Amino acid sequence: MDDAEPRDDELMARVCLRDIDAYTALFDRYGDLVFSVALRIVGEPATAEDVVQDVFLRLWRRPEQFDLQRGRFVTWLMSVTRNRSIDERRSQGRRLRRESLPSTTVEEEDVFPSGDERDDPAMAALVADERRAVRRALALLPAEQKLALQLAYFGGLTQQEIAERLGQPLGTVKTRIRLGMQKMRATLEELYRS
Amino acid sequence: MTTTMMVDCEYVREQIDAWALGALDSAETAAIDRHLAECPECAALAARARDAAAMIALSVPMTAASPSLRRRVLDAVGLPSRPVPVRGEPGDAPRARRWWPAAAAAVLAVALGGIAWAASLQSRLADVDGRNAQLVAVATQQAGRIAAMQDQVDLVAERNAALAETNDALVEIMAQPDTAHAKMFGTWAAPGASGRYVWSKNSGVGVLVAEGLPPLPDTERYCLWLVYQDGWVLGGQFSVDEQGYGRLAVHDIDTSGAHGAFRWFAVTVEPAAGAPEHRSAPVLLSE
Repeated sequence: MDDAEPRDDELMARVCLRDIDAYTALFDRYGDLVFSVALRIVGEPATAEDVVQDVFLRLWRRPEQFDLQRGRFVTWLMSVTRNRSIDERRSQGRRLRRESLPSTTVEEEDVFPSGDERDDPAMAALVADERRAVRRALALLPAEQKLALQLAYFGGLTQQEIAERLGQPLGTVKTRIRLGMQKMRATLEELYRS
Repeated sequence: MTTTMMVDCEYVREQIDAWALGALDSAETAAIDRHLAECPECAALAARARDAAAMIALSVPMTAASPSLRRRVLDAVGLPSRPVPVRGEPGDAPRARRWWPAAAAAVLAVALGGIAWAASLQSRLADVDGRNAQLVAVATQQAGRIAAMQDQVDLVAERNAALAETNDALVEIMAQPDTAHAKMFGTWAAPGASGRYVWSKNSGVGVLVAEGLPPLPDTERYCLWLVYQDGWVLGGQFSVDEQGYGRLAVHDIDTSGAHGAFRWFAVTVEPAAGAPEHRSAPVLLSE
């Protein structure tokens, strides 16, 4: 990271002091990422923009909810975005419609694309390396484990719902999720060490 | 009355990833939340699991939000939209950051549009090329068939001409009082062949009718020889059809006796090119 770029936690500290510039800087840094995650979950650009607005509104109004002691800003922001998007998806009934689509393979490809993608220049230097690492870690997972993680994280499905959707025993789905997450963590740690 | 689900550390460790992914039902989630509030060790595990799960979000393909979204977000919190002086001279770099994504997106869109258009043209061109290649192949095939048919027509015409010629020759021979004939048989080289040679010294015309001779490639011809004591005289060349049938009219037979006494008729296979010479063993011989 450029030394002149304020860190995320520094910007959040300034947001707590009602610093307009810090808040705008965070939006410029992560707005597209939040939008992309929301779009992946809710499936509609207009709804995804609503999610982005809600997430950043919450960030402005209640910045103290981000606890530096509990983790990094970007993971907190992603958690907030994901949970807000899942709520939106459930509340508007899109979940049932999307689950009815027999397109698990397509969705899987969509979630873990193999090609290079555009990175926002404001965000690139901060999390571009992490994005590449995560995509690589996920790409190394067996397909059935990736699919289980996808359906849980982006689809908002419980393990039981995943089992029903895939026609697999609940125990099998639990194992896939546990092993998938373990392998992903191990790969990321290995990548970070190297 | 509701039953509160209780879980222990072992259960939490088993399910903490599913909890972090939000893949547990509400009762399980609530039970683990309660446990985490009281168990620092499991809470530490949960924090790591939550961070790992959140990393999955980073795998999504990046999509640029609409340029109006920034204005909307700032309006929602009651802030004016203006450049962000987070570093450097106020306004310069932030302004660049603000318009860059939109400009890049526009350039990218134009570039992608151009690429897509070029790809479309390329695809259509390849399609046309493919169709042309197919047409050329069909035309070549048809031309080949036409050429083969033409060859067949030429062959039939050649045979008809030979038939007409030999018919005329036979009529002429049969009109003569000195008509003679010789029976011919196939040698070891063509044991199934047979023939007859009819001639008239008065008219100087003869006709060979042969049957059962093997068809020859275009590079070879059958040759009828009049074998005299002092040498072989070529009577003419002929071919046979698919059934091994062939006829040959021979004109201007030399009856001067310059080659010595006549001995027999012979048919050999010789190269089609060049002046015929007696080189091979006979396939038909007169008795």
